[in-house]
Amino acid sequence: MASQYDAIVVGGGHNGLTAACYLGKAGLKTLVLERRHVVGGAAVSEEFHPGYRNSVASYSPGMLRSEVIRDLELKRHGLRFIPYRGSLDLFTDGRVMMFTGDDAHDQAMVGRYSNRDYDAIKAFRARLMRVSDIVRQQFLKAPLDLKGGLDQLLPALKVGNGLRKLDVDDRQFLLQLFTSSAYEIVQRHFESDIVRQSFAVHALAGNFASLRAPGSATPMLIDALGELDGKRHEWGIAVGGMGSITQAMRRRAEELGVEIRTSAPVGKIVVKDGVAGSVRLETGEEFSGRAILANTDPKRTFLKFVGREHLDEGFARDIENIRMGTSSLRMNLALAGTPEIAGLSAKEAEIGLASGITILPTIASVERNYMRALDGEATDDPFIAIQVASALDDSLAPPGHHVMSLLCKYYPYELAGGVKWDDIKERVADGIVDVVAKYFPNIKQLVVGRQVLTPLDLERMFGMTQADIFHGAHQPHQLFSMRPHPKASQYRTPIKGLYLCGSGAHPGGGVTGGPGHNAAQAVIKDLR
Amino acid sequence: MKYDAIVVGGGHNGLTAACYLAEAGFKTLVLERRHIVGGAAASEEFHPGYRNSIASYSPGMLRSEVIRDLHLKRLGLSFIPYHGSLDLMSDGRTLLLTGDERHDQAEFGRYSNSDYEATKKFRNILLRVGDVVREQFLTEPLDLGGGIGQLVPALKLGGRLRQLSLDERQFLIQMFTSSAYEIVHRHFESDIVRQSYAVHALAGNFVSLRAPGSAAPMFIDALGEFDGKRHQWGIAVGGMGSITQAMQRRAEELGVDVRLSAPVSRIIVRNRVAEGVELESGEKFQSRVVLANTDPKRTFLKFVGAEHLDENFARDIENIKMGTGALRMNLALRGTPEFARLSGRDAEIGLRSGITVLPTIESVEDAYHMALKGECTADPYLAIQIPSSLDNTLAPPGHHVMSLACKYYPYDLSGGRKWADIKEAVADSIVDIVAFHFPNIKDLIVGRQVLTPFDLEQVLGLTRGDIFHGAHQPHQLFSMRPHPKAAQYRTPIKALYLCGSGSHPGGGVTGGPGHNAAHRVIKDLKRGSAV
Repeated sequence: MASQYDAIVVGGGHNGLTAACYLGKAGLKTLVLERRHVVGGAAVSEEFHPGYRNSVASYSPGMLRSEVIRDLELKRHGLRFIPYRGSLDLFTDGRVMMFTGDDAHDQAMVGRYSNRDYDAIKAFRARLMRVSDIVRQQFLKAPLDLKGGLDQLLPALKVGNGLRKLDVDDRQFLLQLFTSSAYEIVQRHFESDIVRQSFAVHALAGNFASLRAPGSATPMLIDALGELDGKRHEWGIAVGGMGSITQAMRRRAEELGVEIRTSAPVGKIVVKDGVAGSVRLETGEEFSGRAILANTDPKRTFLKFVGREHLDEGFARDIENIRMGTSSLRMNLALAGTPEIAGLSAKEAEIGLASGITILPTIASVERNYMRALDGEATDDPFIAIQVASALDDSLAPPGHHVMSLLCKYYPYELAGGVKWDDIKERVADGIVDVVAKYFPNIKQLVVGRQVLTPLDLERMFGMTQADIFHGAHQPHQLFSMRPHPKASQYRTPIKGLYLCGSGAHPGGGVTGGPGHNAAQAVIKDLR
Repeated sequence: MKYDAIVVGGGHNGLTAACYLAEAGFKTLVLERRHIVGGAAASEEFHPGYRNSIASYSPGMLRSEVIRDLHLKRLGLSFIPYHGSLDLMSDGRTLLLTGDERHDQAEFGRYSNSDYEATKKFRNILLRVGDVVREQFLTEPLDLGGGIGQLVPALKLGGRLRQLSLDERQFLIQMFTSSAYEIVHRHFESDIVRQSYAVHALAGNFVSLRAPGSAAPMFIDALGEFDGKRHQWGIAVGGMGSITQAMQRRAEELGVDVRLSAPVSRIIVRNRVAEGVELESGEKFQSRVVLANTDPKRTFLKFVGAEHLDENFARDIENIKMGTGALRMNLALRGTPEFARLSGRDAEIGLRSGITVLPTIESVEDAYHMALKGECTADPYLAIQIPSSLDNTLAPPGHHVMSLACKYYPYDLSGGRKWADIKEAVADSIVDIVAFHFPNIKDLIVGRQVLTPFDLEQVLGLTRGDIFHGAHQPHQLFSMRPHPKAAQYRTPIKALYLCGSGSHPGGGVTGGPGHNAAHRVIKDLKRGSAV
């Protein structure tokens, strides 16, 4: 059967669309197949309550590489960013810590708790910037090939040369970020409980781990890789929500002649004699392509779409054993007014509302939450990352109204005692609103609608196995050349013609465009 | 008189270093706080008529190069291998391996169709990959602060890694970065084999078995070489003290001065240069170099003093993760312990085996989290040795001694409790567990020695009871052990060197740190660059 397409992308998430754009631009005839009625995967804006729109799942555009924004001409296609006005930490004991970027303000804020931690934070951030540059430079490249021999010497030496520019303290710090724990890092660098708690517990956002476990500091490094619209160490929102990114990508893809089929759920990647040559929809319709790119996570891709029978036993067992699950629950609230923030003056609250907001349990409580989640119990003292996007963007809610995003942790995918998420969902959501109400006293009066996405919902809605928003935990043994497996970490897989282009591949989860960009380069090389 | 080298602490690494230094012609003094040398590798009469290795009990990591170079066999050291290994699961199941293929296959076959083959495959890959790590034991780790000068050793290491297959490279990285829990799920199908392999990784660690890095101690199995024979374990005749007694004899033969009951109070530092050592008695000794066999915290924060250190370096040392959560017990037994669920030939082999009482993986998680909060587990992991079943020099005829290394027992107890208050009650609870597996044990006990984490610190000078001088976790190994600025045995204090378990290759009775430090010192003294 002659190839209808040069490339077929399974899944129209932001990485699938990114890959499709690069492929389309290289003159390859490309088809994107998306299960849902809308592209974007977890990077999508929807009207979750009549009159209220929001990014329903991912909410942070601050990892999207500026190279991707530029190459895909996303700004011409309507994408715009607005930075946060600050960052606001709300501690469970009622203390608050707000940073605005104003030196005098921030110094006074930390000065309430410690004489030396403001300088310690500055030194820590400066160091984080220097070492994260090394990691950042690896983002838009395939990682080293573990099976490689001498051909890997040159790229290895290049990495080595990058490391040479760091002094011994920075090298030590880089190694510690990957191998030490968040707990040890904050003990080492800060003296006050509150700053330690802030820096350690923020590392939860991208992880499901004990903060005492080696590797639990890695998300601190990821955090340092943020660059809102090319500006380092800045965070914010995309106007219109995360869906604006993927809608702009879609427009660019179509401009380049990419065909996009929505409501087209894939049932099978058809493999013959170890070669992937076509994709079959659940309806039975089949499309053939010279290259198949899977934007789906590795478990779904290999164990569901390809099938064990086409895989080497050892490889299949490794894929089965990828550590998945971020134990995240996602909620969106429609608010008929402006939420007040306890413990802040009106002026501060105005900045606070337009900030990245985090409710931070203590390190000890996070440990308990982690252990409970392992046992299948939901926490009652959650970490909550909050965004009130409508404080910066008036396109999301009616005038004077707001929308609030909440990313809540830890809520395990598997519940103890055979309890089903659908049975406890509303009760758990009520519990979370109770917690939020401690910090936003008027919130309950304002809530006119809510969307609750439990781990099970995230899996059902977005096809993320075990609700892993990163397609596999960001832990040292699942990064770089090991992501998702040494035999599939250069985007090529043991199945000829099948490539990975999703968050399960290097550089991993988050809306970066990295996996899509890198996979497209490998495919373009191979098809030529 | 002025010595070329003074070694602070006469543990096995200090003695090893002293022997190499003296053999190179350097006038060397060893200062030991206790009345005997050996540190944690010591044999003592812990109850009248009963001797045992009081703390460390495994000679299977001691490098054959060290045994040979120090002439330890000529000086009386001999080894006896175990007859097998015996796992006693907390639910009463047993797994006895003798090395006899048919026996072991049948033993595994009781629990799984595929796991015997799986363990063979696992051990083979472990040995091949372990070789790469093993080859690094008697060499300095790469210098993180190094530039182009580190290229050749880095390429050498890279060249060695090239000899591994892709699967082996993946395995190597997983062993250091993955968790014991994930490794056993990946490789084995039966609960009992998973439990055995995962929980054995506790021996050298204080971690959650789900934590990245918790698989690293599985390498121990691949790094052991009992008197040069790979993948075998056993005892030293006369206990671990026989190793260090032989080392002391060798050192004295080479002209090393060994001073016992000579507790050091400080390392004399002027202008960031170590000039000698002062004892608690006030007596001072001068030397060209000082080697510290003590752990890094004790060495830098107590003997040197933070005032001589860069603030960042001092904070890093303060923050070294210490604590193995281990409690050590020795029992004097007036008869032969019987197994609850083994008899006949199996019992005879079992008694002469490395024995381990293994709680479930879930129970270990609970024990770990309890220990973090300062609580003691009621369902401990116990590594048991009955050396008197192989060596008749330890107890009266027909009598026995039993070693127990018990985990997790935290150094810091909750609610301000002191170890002295709960020591005997905790020991009783451990004996209760032992009695579940050896029903007659309580009738046999005529004496016991209990070394709590606090006792291990008090008696042996192990800060926070850490038997390894710093946890064996990825961020504290190789070029990071104990700190990038002190990982090549030199330290930020000129003429001060580290030669203990806090340095690469780390804890266990290997002789590696002593050997490597001595070679660094010899090079520097010959070049005159240490002075």
